[in-house]
Amino acid sequence: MLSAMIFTPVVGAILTLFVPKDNHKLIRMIATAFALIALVISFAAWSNYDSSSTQIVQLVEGTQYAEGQIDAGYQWFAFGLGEDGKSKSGVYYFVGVDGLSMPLLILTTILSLVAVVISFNIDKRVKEYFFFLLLLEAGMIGVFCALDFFLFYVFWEIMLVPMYFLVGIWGGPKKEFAAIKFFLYTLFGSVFMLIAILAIYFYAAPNTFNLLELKRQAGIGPIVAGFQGVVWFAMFIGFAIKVPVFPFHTWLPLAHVEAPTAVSIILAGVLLKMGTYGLLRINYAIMPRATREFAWLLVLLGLINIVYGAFCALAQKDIKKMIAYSSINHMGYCLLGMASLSVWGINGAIFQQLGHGFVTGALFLLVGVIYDRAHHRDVEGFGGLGVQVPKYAGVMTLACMASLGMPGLIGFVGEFLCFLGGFNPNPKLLAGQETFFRVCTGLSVIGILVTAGFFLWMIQRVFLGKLNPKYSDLTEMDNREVFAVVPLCIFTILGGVYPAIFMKMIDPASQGIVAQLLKAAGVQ
Amino acid sequence: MTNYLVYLAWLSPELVVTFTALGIMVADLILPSSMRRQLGYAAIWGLLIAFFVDRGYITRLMAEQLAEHGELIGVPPLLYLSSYTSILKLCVIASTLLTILLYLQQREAEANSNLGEFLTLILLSCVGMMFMVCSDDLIMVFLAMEFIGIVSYILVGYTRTDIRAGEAAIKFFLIGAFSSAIMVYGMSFVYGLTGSTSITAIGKLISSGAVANSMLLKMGVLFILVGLGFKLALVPFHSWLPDAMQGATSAISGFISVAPKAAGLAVVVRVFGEAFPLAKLDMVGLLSFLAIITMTFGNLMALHQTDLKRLLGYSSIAHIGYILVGVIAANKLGASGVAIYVIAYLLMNLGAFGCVIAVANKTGSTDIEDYAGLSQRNLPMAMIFVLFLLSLGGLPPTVGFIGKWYVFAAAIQTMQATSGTLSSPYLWLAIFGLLNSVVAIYYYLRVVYQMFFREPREDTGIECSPLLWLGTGFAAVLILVLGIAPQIFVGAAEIAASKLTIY
Repeated sequence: MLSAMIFTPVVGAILTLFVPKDNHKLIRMIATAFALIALVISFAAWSNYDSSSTQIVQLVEGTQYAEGQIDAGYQWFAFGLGEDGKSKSGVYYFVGVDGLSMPLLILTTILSLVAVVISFNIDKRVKEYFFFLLLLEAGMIGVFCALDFFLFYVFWEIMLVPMYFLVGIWGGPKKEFAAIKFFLYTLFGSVFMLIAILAIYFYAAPNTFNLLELKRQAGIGPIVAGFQGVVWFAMFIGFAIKVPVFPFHTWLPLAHVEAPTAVSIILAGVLLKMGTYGLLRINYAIMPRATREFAWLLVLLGLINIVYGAFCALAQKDIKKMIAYSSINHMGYCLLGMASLSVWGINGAIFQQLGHGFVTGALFLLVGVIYDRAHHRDVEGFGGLGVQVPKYAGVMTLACMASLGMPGLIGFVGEFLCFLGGFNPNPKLLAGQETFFRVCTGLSVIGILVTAGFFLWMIQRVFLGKLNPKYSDLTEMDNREVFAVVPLCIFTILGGVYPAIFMKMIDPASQGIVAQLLKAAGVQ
Repeated sequence: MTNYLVYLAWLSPELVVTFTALGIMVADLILPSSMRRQLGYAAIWGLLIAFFVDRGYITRLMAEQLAEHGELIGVPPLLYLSSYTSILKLCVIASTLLTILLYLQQREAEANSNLGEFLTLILLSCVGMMFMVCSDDLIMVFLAMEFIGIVSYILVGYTRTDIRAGEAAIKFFLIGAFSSAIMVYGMSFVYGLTGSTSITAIGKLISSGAVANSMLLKMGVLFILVGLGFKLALVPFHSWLPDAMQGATSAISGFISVAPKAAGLAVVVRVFGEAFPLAKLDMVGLLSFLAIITMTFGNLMALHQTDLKRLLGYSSIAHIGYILVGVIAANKLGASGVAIYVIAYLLMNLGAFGCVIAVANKTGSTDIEDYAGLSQRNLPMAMIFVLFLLSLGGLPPTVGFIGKWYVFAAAIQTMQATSGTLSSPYLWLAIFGLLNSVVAIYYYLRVVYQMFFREPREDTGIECSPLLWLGTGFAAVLILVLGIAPQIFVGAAEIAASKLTIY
């Protein structure tokens, strides 16, 4: 089922290549159909996912994983084989989901469909556009499904190329620079990741890329004793660039502003999550000891992200740039929650990823809508639009409120849990550091205030007041745009009112992560 | 006598190519000029036969009961045949084959009345490389290298009327002659110390400690390194390569950036793995340094090139730096990584030259700016070219990534095996190698940028002959297939590497 989900977009991408260049309608139909199929499969996977099961990883294909097993899944190619050429150690095609990845998969497929639908107005080189968009979707789904280190890395890298083209061809005025900067920055991070992967492989006993087996080994003893800290950092840089964690964030505002709307949605909604997902999936699970040692760093970086991101956003005149900086701020909450090493905090971090995905996806979409009509995004260039386009104003306000963490909407749940975690770091693991954590968390509250400030100020300047006569003939959102934004709004409200639909899956995963940290630290 | 017949049977791929070359030379004199074009196809058939014969030997040597590690041929043994050398031989044959295919499609080739001469030369250089790959004797290495050298000087200067070709050939010749002299000098040191020129014998003497690790020995090895370094275009012996690449006609540029390196690497793996184990001679640091400056320099120089052929020339210097990591790692994974990387490099580099030829046939230029808007002039061609470039950059799911993966994995494995710390040269090899591949991506993407992000200067399409499609398409498909399902060839490479005497 998971493989079907990964390869559906690939099939769609290849199919678009065979459509005549000028048949835009058919290309769009194919892209929508395949994104929709992937969405349906992900919902089917969701309904098959049993969150009460003791089996942590589910929907595995091929050989099941059992303790000490290095040949779960299907063997892809042997690596470092013996004389007989039939070594078990090697690279496996091993996919599965747990409570950490399942919600993100749903997020990915929904946002991909939204991105495809919102891209119907692209009429420059349509064929290539949807080809790359579908390829990107496949890469993202793959990253969240992969349970083999090599596979994870391959999917991680595969996404770069479509992203480069999407930003570079269909982006804004500085698109080429943004595209290459994004590409090189991420590649720079993955270089360290690759070395870390190799080090972990060769220092593990038995040698394996299987993430579950590595996790088991890490629970017993450190895999790369001696310089686990270095390997942890190498891995961390790869993920931190993606999150992005200050000071690796400079590619983000640029890429966001230059990218076309759909790509911004994907970038903020899914790609950033890969960084935090990777931290939890790999740094936390495989190098728990180093994670415990560097928790203070995570909380500190979380604080910087929150406050710095918020103040930068406050200073922006371009709405899109403002939302881009608010993403840095929101990912800071994730780091804060994660750093606490407590179930509350990690629950919050995972939930915040979801919340940010839906909400920021909606925000970028809405900015794209206004940009298509007004051809600028200057916050001061509008005014009083609430009268002219009430539907649009309503949806935008909803998304802003969710983003600034209003209770009852999805953003609140994640932020609240992250702060809760930050105030109560795991007493068994972080004894003696409580004060530091509380101070950092306390200072982060500034970020919340500023966030509320810039969103409300933006609403005031754009939608309230006297209608700017320039926009007296501004048209309301059309059906296609409404169709794209409605699912996001549904999840924004649903997640806020009834977080348990996701929390049911997330909670066992966080319990598992904390249990792993405790086990490795030798405290029960 | 029977022994010699067995030996000749083992050498049948070489014999096939030799006779094809000689046959073409004679036929060129006899045939009327209208039929000379057919000679190209004769050469291709000859190489195909050699290819499959060699392919058969690989299977045979792989399952081999004859000797555990390989066959030594000659009395005293001058050649060493194992599945590993046969795989690299296969690479040499394949790159010659692709080069001829590409050359026949080049516009210059049509004007060239001396096709037979050209084919004879390139086939002879192929024979030289095949011998170099499987030589087990330093003298044999030297002879093969000189043989290839002389043929290559002529090939580079082949377009006599082009002043750049002349300059490149002279440079190539002078540096080549100089470095082979130094190499022979080094060999004489080694002979004086060990009393042998056989790689196998020297290896036994040195690893058993019968020959002390003296300064003189190191000097000898260093001088040999100069000669081999010239053939591989290691920095600082590289300066001939970019000029030769730019000066020579495109197909030949592709050829000299791939085939001699495949041959040279086979020798390097045996010389520095078996005869002079690096770790034993305390030369790991020096070689690592050479590898690092080779890749760094190659990449930094490639950054600012405006001519695509020159860019590919500098990038090929960088690639040799990466491959050398596998040699220095000196383990099974490393040796197999060298073979895997060579296979990958052969496909992607010659594929890229195929695209260069297709565009140059139309525009007559290899300037990067003339690739502007290629995606709108010929989308499939642009897509294929992107695939080659991404593979050169080492991104999955292409075969270039598999090659990088193996050589760098080998370095980390050796680091673990020698319980290296953070100052381990193997770790730094991996770090520098991978950082360099980030730099490399930048200039490969510059070409992609022109092809996809720029508007075309002319609106005419770029058509491509069927045979050229066949060559580039074949390479592109293989790059993807081998990248997605590497089991097809990495297993064989690993078994072959484990059959080398040393590992």
